[in-house]
Amino acid sequence: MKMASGKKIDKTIYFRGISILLLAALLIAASLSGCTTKNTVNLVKLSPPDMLEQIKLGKIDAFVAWEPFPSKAVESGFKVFMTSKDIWPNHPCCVVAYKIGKADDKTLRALVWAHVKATRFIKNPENRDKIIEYASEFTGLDKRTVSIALQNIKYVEYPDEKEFRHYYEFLKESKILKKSVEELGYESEDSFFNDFLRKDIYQEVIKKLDENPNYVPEKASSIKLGYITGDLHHLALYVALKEGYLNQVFDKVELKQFPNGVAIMEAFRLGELDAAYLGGAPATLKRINDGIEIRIVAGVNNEGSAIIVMGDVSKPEDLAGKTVAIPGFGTVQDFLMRKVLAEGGLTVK
Amino acid sequence: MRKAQSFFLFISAWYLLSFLNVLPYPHTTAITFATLLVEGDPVLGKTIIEHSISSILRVVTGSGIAFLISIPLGILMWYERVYSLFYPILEVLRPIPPLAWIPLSYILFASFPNPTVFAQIFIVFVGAFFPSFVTISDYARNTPSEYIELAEVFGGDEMKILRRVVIPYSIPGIITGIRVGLGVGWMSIIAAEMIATSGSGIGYFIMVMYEVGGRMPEIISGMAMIGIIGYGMNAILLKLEERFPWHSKSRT
Amino acid sequence: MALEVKNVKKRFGDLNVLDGVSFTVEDGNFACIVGESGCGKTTLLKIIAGIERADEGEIIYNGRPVKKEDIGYVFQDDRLLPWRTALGNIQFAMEMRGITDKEKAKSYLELVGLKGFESYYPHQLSGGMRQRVGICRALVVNPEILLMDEPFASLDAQTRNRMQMELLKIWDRDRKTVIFVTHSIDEAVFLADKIVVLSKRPARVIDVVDIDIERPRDRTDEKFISYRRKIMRCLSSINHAPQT
Repeated sequence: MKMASGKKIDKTIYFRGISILLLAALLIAASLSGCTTKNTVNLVKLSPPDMLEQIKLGKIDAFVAWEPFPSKAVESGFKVFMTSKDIWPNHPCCVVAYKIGKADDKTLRALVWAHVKATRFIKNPENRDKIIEYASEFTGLDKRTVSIALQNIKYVEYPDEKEFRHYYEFLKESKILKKSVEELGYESEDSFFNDFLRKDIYQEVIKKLDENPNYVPEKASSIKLGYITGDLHHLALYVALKEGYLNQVFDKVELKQFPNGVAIMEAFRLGELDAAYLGGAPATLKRINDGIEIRIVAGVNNEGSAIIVMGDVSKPEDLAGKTVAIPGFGTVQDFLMRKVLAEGGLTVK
Repeated sequence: MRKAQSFFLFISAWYLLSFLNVLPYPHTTAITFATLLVEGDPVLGKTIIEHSISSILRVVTGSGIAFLISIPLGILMWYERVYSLFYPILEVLRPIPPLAWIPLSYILFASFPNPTVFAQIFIVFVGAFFPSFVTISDYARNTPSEYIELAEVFGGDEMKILRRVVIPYSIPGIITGIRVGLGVGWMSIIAAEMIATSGSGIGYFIMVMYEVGGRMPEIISGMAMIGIIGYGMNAILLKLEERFPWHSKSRT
Repeated sequence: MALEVKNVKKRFGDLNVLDGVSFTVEDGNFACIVGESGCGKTTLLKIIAGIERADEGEIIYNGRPVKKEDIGYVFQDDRLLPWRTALGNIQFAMEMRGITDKEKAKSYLELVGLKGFESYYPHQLSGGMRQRVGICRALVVNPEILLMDEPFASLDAQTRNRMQMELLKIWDRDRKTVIFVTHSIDEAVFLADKIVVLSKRPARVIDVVDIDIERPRDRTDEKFISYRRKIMRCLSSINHAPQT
């Protein structure tokens, strides 16, 4: 006969059962009671469309996002707390980048030319009505919203290098960068930026244009070009397409849409793209952290983001104890929000 | 001995992939993992333990609620009347994977105080409910007719049979159900955390590490943590199951 | 005062199992039903116990239809609940009838010689012990009639003989009416006051033999052997007769 090893099975079962249930009940209570403290801000990551939904429902108190989302929020009755221009004048935003080895100088010259032409078209006040129409078509928003949004975006041909460095310093300080530029094989930060922000093509193109406004570079064969769906910042791409600039200098243009800059960087890594319009943030982050070899050849826009708040916020201090949303960690918008919070003496929980 | 060989094989394959520059080195990853256990990463500022606790809390809550329903309902499936009433509905709902419930649940819980957490708990609920329900009802319905006959011979009515025969017989089934349910719930929470942001949780941690870039050791550490916790939960409940002499091993 | 089985018929679909079985067992008598395996003995017992319905016929006890409360049942397999201890299994039968009397359950365990094994689980007990718990479970509800369905079939010969003697000892205390199903003629002759011999399926009573030997019986006794021979002949005669 075997000796008893589990004589008290009955009791054990019931005891375990009861304790599991008790634990569950306890944890429901615990997990639902999120507590907030003074002088800290609850920072959450949300996609911009979600930000709009959640601020309408009162789940978040503020958010920072790029146009047209702030303008859409304004349409719904929220107010702009600060535009990105107020927080950080001339801050970099979107850029045109290419994968090293996937585009030769001829291709780049053609691309930069089309981009510069389109940007100049946007900035020409005579084209205002046409631009609003293009913007509306591109983003699927009504003309009133896009015309407000367009006012907040500063379309540029090349980013401000000093401000780009400033953003890089932020990434370095907040330890979001995992690697140093030395690890990537550069002697110094200066030499990295000289390589990363490639200005010679741009300079060559505008010099030619200055000499002869009708200059058209030699036609390149084809290009695979990525951009973010409906991002008003990337309007120049749409204009370049609609006004025929791209077709003038390329035999074939293959466009690919992406949901965000991270996805574009992954496509670069896989060699699916030659060049793309994307945020300077994912470009820099993934260039350094993941070593995806790209260079920036042109700027797309500066500024163009804004912080939107619920009614009762009028100064940074008012954000204490609130929940604010950013579109991603290490983004320019993240930096903008942290600058504002620091001004109000607030820390992120 | 076999275990050691298996571990050795795994590590060698990993080192090979590291030499080919596909993965970070195992020792680098191990150091990152150990660091993350005690120190928060600079982006989110939370240790991997804190992230795990957030995820576990959501899983335990969601699956706890699921079990509160699936255990009694599964047992009641022993009654033919209840079975024929509920089973067709549940059979249609069952093949819908928990992930497919994500968009709907975010809309459903949009007006709740903490929509993301509610939605995630709901997704875990869906994930944990069906496998536990199916296991438990399967057990209850398979209560040996011999035991029911025994109760009948001594004059037991349906209620007594349910309480004294079907329920005690189904206890190992309940534990299996909890084990399987927790397993699916655990997978569901990771997926739910990756899709919508929650501020903490292992799935969220992995996703943010991916977005920020350059953090493969962190990503692998997160995955390892998922594995360790999942394995632990399963092992504890498996041990508990083995204590029942009438537990039939053929069931899963 | 007697248990009367009157013209019981039972079919399962096309399968005719019981074809008008009738016999009577006087109060306090030990009756054995013998017949080949699969001839419907268990079905008959279940009908008497009231958990299977007869298509025709009735079971009368003391002039009225038999009730569940009259019955104590011992199964062929020990049929102990694995999640209950020996004592718990005995209490189970009482609980089914709405009785809770732990002391009584304990005293019955003592009666079958299992004192000290109260908290053992079935898998920790030997086959003979488990069957004793099964008998004890049937007795604890004070039945008028004890139905036993080949309770010793799965035991080894030695244990089986010992169990038979113990069963008679217990039976002798209060002389319940016992219907004991077996396919072992030896066992029937050893135990019974009366042996009901059933034919092959569909079962009918082919003979009722009163065993007139003093207990305790000796298996090597002339009389014992002649009873055995008689019943064996009785069984084999019908088995070779053409089916109707």
